[in-house]
Amino acid sequence: MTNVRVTITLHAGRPDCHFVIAILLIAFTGLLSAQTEPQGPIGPPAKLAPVRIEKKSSPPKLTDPVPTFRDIAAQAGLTASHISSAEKHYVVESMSGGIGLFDCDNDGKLDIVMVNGSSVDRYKQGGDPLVTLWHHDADLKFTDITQKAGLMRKGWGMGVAVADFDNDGNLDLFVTGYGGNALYRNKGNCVFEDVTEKAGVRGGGFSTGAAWGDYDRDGNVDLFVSRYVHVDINHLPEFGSTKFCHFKGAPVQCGPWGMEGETDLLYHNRGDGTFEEVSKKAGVDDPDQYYGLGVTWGDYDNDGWPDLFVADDATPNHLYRNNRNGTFTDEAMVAGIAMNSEGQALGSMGVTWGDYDHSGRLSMFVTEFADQPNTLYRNQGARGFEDVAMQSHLGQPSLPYLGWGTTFFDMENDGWLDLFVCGGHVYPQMDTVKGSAAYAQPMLLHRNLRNGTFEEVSKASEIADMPLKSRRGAAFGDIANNGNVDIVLLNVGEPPSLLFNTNSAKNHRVLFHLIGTKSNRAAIGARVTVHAGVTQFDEVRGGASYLSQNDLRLHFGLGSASKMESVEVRWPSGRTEALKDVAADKIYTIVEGQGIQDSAPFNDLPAHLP
Amino acid sequence: MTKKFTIAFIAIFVLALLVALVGAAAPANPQEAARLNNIGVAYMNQQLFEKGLKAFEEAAAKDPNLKVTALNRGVALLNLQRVEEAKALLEKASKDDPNDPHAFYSLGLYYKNSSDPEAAVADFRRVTEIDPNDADTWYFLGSTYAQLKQFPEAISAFEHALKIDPLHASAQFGLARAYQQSGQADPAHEAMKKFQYITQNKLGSPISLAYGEQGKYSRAEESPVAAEKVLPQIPVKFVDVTKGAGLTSRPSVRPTKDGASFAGPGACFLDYDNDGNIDLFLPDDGTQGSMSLYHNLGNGKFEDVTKNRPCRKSRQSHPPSPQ
Repeated sequence: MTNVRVTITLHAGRPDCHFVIAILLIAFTGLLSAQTEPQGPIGPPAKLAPVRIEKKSSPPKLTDPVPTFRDIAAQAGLTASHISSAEKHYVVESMSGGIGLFDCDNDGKLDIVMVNGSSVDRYKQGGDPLVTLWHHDADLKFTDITQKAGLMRKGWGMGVAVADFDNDGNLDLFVTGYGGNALYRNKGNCVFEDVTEKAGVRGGGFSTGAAWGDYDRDGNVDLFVSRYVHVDINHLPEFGSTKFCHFKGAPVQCGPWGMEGETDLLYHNRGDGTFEEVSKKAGVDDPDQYYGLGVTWGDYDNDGWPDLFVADDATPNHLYRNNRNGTFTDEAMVAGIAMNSEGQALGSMGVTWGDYDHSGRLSMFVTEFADQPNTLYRNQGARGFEDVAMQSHLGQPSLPYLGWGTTFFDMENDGWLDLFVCGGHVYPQMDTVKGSAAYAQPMLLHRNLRNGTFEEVSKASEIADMPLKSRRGAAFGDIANNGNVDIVLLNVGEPPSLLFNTNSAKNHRVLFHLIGTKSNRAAIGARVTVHAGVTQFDEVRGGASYLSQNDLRLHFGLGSASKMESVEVRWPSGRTEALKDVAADKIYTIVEGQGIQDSAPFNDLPAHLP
Repeated sequence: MTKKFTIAFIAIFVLALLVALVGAAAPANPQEAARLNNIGVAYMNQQLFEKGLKAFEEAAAKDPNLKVTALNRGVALLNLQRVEEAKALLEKASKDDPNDPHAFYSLGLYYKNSSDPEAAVADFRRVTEIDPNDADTWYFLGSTYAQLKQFPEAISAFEHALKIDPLHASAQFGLARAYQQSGQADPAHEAMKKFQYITQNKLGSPISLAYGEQGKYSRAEESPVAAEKVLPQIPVKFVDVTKGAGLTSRPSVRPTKDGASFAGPGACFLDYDNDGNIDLFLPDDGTQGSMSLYHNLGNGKFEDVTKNRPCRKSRQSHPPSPQ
């Protein structure tokens, strides 16, 4: 991910040396001649909409105050720590892990699952329980129920993703890990059964990202798993040993550069509790073995079929377009989303889809390695994606930092998606290297200015005052059920953070809890479009951000609109439902084919906020 | 005693006053300014932009006439995201010296990354007038046109960059994207294949957006004052390691008196096997009967691999053409 510009210096002293130059030139004859000659007959341009450049007006004055966030993790009882070695001598020690928000007992309150991580030494002794699960008792108080919940399988946890794979009404938990994954079937009331082997999803290797999506729309949600590099725990490349184990002159862990990558996995859900690994047949196995990390499904081409984005570290990203027949075509290069606009394959980590510009299309935001801007790929429709990292002003503040967990979310409920990014280096050794951001890094909060650009508001939101840490996963959801989106963060080797959103803007908002009947029960892939002054949409996703799980309920800020003119639900089954004149400020439960089945008011801010 | 102390005290005071006065009225100190400026450049190279800015400000205080410090302050401020101050300084610098490409280039990058790509086009065009042979400028000009959806202009600028540097990976990528976005799938495909050929064979790398890597005119500039007057005297010694490095297998035709073996027509360093270590190629100077190829073993030593490699005057040694 460091950019070394290779220069071949030719010292042409006498004519003989010209011969060497000639060798080089002849070697690239095809390249050179084609370069300077016309590009052959230019076919008629494909039918594209006429180019329209929107003149960017000066940003409107935003009247809503920037919400402030408070870390209430300790008071909330989130005291168990993620596990990690201090020195991180091996790449496998730097990548964990994710964090998730889901309601494991259907009591309407979000519970929290954190990946535990491990270390090489501990893994050789059997590893650590993959996750910690906290039950949300009431009023932002949580209890560690990992043991009672039956989540004691040991290993080396990396990421989490949630769906209801057996359509029994209880949300199930998938955990990726180095050396094997785990699938925990929820029997109800947050009691889980380890069905990994029976389901056939143990996998292996260095699994990182996971995302549930019903790509064949058969009502059974399928599972994609990305994998990173090949690591043999008994033959680990020695810290600082080769040129691939140095960064900015300092000896560091080896990789991913110079290491063999791993293929990716797609598990088709047979609907009988078992899965079939079909990545090759489906064309998503990644034979190039790029270094896969964050993954997420999203219908970027608006054809009703879920497509898949895979963020690859130091290698080009994948964008698998759903061919609607069980196979996919990687469109990333053609669509301009494999690399940034300079053609650099960035160190891509976390991912989020969002219609931040109300274009009716999902754009993709990717967090990147140090000295690289976090990248916003604006979805232009038929013209593909455009890298607007710098034009959107998301790239500049992120340049020194290494970004991980991220999600588009509406922090002040004004109807426009904002962005949060947490950071942290992979190398603790950077603390003593001049010209590098340190290991512990700040978080970035970007407010949507509604003209395609963002303003960095970390100071105003007070997250700039929080301690610097090396963070990884970030999960977003309304933990207090008060209509504001909160954030939980995985801090490497430390207990998590819970950033409580104290938004005081009096904007209206709404939450939709979707339940599929013909579609998969957790409604993964369902799209809700809300018309309330402006038109917004979002989709239910089982896995996103960096190896993390966001609230499955869809949240929309509605600004001053106290009701929605209409709400459309497009279920994965293909069924659509339209609801008219829906009042704002409620948590709605919509059942496929049955409309709104339940509504609950939002809580007030807890008076006794810890 | 007291009197002596008083006199001494007054003397010291007067002396101090004199020093202060002389200091305040000190004439511009171009060498000290240049030294401070160059320290600032070094800080910038370590991405310590605050420290760089401070050094440039100190340099400007020593010699307000040192033009380069104004430019460099602008570059530092730009990297510190203090864009309004940066813009003002850079615009002034571009007016003060309209034949220096640096300020125009930085302004071009700034406008490209803000909401004014048209202004960026004007600035990059100005740079191409001053220096028509900088591929990076043509690349960014093309990239800005692409941003403006002026794809024919973008294609033309990218092709210009590639004429100057056929291995300019970013220009090749930009060309592919511009064709793609203007609906010309076939040339887009061709251009993308070339891009992949360039990058996969490590013939060129794309431009990075980190400081200093967006083209030579994007960096803070060292002072034109002669370096030997400015830089501290660091003892630099060159030691002949030819023998120890194993570069002696080639018959020496004109041994120099200090024992160096080579007196050929030149030497070419290149990493022929992409292992990250620069190898050494020596052409035949007419007396050897053969060219020589030394493989860099990465430990300060070279191995003569002339015989192992197809290193003859033949066209057999082409790398594969782009598929």
